Amino acid sequence: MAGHSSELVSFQLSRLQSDEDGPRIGRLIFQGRDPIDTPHYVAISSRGAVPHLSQDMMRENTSIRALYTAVEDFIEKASLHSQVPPVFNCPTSADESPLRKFIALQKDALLILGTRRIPPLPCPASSTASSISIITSLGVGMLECTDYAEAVQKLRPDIVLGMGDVLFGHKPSVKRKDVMGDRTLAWLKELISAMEDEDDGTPRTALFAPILPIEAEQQSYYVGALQDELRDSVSGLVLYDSASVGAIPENMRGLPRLYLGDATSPHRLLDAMALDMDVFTVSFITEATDAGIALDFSFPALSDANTVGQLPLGIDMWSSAFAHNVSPLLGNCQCYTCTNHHRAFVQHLLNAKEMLGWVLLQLHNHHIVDEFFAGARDSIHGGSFEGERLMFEKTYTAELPAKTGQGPRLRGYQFRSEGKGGPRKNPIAFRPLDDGKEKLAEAALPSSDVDAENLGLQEFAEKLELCNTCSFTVTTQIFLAVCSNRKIFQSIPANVCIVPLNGHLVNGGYIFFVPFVGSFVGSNMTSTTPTKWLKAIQSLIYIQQIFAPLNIPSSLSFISCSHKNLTLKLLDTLNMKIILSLSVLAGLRLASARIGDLTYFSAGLGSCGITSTGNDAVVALSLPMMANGDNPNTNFMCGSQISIRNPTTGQTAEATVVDTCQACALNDIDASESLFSTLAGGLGAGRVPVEWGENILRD
Amino acid sequence: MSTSSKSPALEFEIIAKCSTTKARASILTLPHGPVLLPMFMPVATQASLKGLTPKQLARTGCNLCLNNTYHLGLKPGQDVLEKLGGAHVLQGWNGNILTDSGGFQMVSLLKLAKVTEEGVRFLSPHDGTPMLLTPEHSISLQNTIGSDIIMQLDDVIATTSPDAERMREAMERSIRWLDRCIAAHKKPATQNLFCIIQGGLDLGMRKVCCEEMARRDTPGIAIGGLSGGEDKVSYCQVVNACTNWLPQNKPRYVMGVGYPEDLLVSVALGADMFDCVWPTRTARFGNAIVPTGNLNLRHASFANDFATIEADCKCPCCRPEEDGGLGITRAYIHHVAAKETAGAHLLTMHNVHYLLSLMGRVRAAIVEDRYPEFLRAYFSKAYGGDMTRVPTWAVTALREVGVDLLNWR
Repeated sequence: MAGHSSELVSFQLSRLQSDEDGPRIGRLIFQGRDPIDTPHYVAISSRGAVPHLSQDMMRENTSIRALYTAVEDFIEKASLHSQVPPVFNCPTSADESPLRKFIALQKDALLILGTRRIPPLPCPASSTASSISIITSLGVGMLECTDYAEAVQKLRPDIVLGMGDVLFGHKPSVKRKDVMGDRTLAWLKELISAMEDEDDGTPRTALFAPILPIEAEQQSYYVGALQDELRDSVSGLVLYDSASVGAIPENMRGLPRLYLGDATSPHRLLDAMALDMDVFTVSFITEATDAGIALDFSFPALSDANTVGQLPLGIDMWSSAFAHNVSPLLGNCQCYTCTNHHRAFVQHLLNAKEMLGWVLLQLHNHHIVDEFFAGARDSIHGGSFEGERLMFEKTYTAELPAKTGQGPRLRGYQFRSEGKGGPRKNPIAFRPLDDGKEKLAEAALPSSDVDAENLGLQEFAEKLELCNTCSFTVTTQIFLAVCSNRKIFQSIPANVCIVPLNGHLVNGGYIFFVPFVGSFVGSNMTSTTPTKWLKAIQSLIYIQQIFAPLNIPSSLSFISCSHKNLTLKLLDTLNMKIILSLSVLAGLRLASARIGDLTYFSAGLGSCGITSTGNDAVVALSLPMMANGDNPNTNFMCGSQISIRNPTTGQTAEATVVDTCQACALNDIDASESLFSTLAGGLGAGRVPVEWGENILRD
Repeated sequence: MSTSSKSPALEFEIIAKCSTTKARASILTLPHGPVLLPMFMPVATQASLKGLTPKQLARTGCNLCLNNTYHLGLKPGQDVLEKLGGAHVLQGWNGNILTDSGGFQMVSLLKLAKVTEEGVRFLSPHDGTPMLLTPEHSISLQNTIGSDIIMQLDDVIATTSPDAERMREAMERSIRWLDRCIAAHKKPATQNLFCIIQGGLDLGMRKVCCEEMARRDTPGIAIGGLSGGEDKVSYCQVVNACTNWLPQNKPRYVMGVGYPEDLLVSVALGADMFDCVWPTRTARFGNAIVPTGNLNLRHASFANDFATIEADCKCPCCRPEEDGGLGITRAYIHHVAAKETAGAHLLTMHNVHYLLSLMGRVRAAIVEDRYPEFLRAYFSKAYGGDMTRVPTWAVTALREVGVDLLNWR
């Protein structure tokens, strides 16, 4: 009989848990790791590293004792190409964790594995009976419960968090709440049986079971099973909402509690501590760092009679007021940054966008949170927690200071802007030189009777190579061009389809498509009917997404596909005219005005993954118009602009596509309330006929 | 001939010379400590070596790095530097710093820069107002920065320029500007002004420039205007010729060189100091420098490669955990490259360490008088034992100094 995983972990509370809720201090001891006095925090990693910190920095200049990693950060290659995730293959000695080895985590730190990043990127798809929806660097995918169990067996983290059927970002419906407990229980059992199947019977991983963020009675069956059947397999609990603390069964109250809930400020951490949470993930550390803010708070708050008003929780290091300031970020701070550098340097680094600026802030901010937890433990120990919590609440502002400077250069999929059409996180770093614009203005567009072959001969554009063996459906003969110059579009003939894409995909440019006689290798498509078109376009968007992390600053890019891999070629802006000419040759007409009915709906989180309100000028288009693929969030229509006209009144408006309308006929539009009011003169009409089109740029 | 020299803020002593090539091993003592030459100097453009802390940089073995005057002049600006007390204080770096004059960036980064006898005219990148960088201004900025080695403002034009007249003008102007720099230099007791030899690929002009500048007796000498797209054969000819004309007892710095092969050949031709942004820049693109060339670790073939970046490398990333290192694998770099900046930091550490340790081994080989063998072993490894694949320029240049890679002994 295998030993129980719960034997790996012991949790000693310094006082016996009484009935009354109140902060508690304890010590979490995992065999072979440094003990962790609680309350404490777990550092959050991204792809195995604490953002900005190389592993040597983390080891030497932080006191991080526990690291949270997400399975979705490691399995993208497998989910898309049905291969084994590379990390599984990391060679180790028998008692080593491949994951720990892979990410070079020091031996004395506790390694925790969960399903999703913290905070998770909002996921469009919902979970199924056997899987949850995840986002990897290659896009949206499903994480099957069995795959998670396999990952745990292979990766051997110290602690694994049970896969919970938990929604992020919005409240579950009543129906959904019913299945959450059942699914989580089934998944937990699957995980436990997989963990017990380990060959040599020596447990290496301890399991923390989720307590769901729903009312106690709604998860009573699940919790009942936890305390009756699974008690011996569970070493700790994961909570997503401090309110669900009441659902913890009696015989599990002494288990350590990992709190993954909303901890946007130190105040919220203290609230959760007051409700007996033990270990926390603190996402505001990295958020403050990215915003250029040096955290500045301590617990208990240092009382200063002279202070007028509340103190800020951090210092905005972008401020030029620090340019000459050679004092440390904080006077008595013992962190690496404060003992080796000064404010002027950090201010300079941020200002010069040098990566070291964020490194130094990240070290400091982790130290501040370290000290904060140490202070809280002392305070609980001394019995003065509640009073000091109130004092802290009074002393400091409720929220972190607003960000004034720019964040670090954004690398990677984890920094996508919120939905297409959302604001850029950083302004565009590069722009064409002015003389380029002049040249462009002077350049005559080729006349429409120039054929593509001649243009090719003049070496304006490289010829596209044909693609025979691409693994996804890629067209052989479609040109994709991206342009950020609005002016050009005013001279495009009306028979070219233009789709503006304001999202991150193409750097705020526009995308337009020039079909030749279509022929799609992957799906045997031979005609160019509009729906098949959409499929083709989606393929192209997919390609574009792969290239998106490159942050192409150019005003024009071609995508071509060669035998084995895709290549992206940047061409000069002047080459835009070739595209124009080719598009004329293609003679496609897609952008003519459509006529349909306008109705209204109450806007919220739409199929594009964008949350909007009734006051936003947003629309949902019909199912066939949207033609959503596997991931509706990446639908190229999302974020595109349409213009709508009410022919009866002559009223026009522009709107952004954010959702799919299930009940609409092909050309119908479902609009937000404010937009409907604008066009129909109030909500009374309910349904009015309108004309609309995507080609608003040529009005 | 003397093998050492002494200036108020610099001592230079050659401790060994290769008996075959012109390579030298020396000790350069600067205000912030001794530096062993030959050496590669990493470039911390804006007072930071691309994400590494000064301690991490020191751990790669570096005690002399570059800052760019042009960039520091813009941010944080002379006023701030003045108040802080210079770049060492700004970045918390107790090693040595070398600053360029700012002239190269004026020409390479800015459109509409125009060189006149007064200085370099350019449009402010902040607000487009016309500005002028004179030799006096450049030296004043570098005096404020407080770098251990400062460079004269020179008139840089591409070596590939066919305009011989303009080239001569640039060379002669650089000499006149050197005089103005020397006159403007306020801190010769703590900062060392290096002259910069110009003259393009014209050996006649280079000779004139070497003689004229050597006469000014600056503590050190740079060979400038190279690495601007000229072919390697011409590059080697210029370096080889200049080191013949320059005094033996001064450190020689070839600007803008950083590929391992270029470094090895240049050392054989008698150069001592080098700088280049390539090792750090290429790291940020996911490329690791190894003895067999470059590994683009973003390539899918590395996803399952669990070897360390380079076997036997002693950098903090490659050293195994038992040895106090991190034991970072190629697969992990592949996993984070271009997705987390920590990946860039790790590779930057490796690449800088690689070049510094390479130069350390070069130095040891010179001291033990086995540099020709070292060259042969390095090129053999880099080209899989097939010396016929070694680039012709390298073979030719090394033959000039007595090493024949193709017909060994």
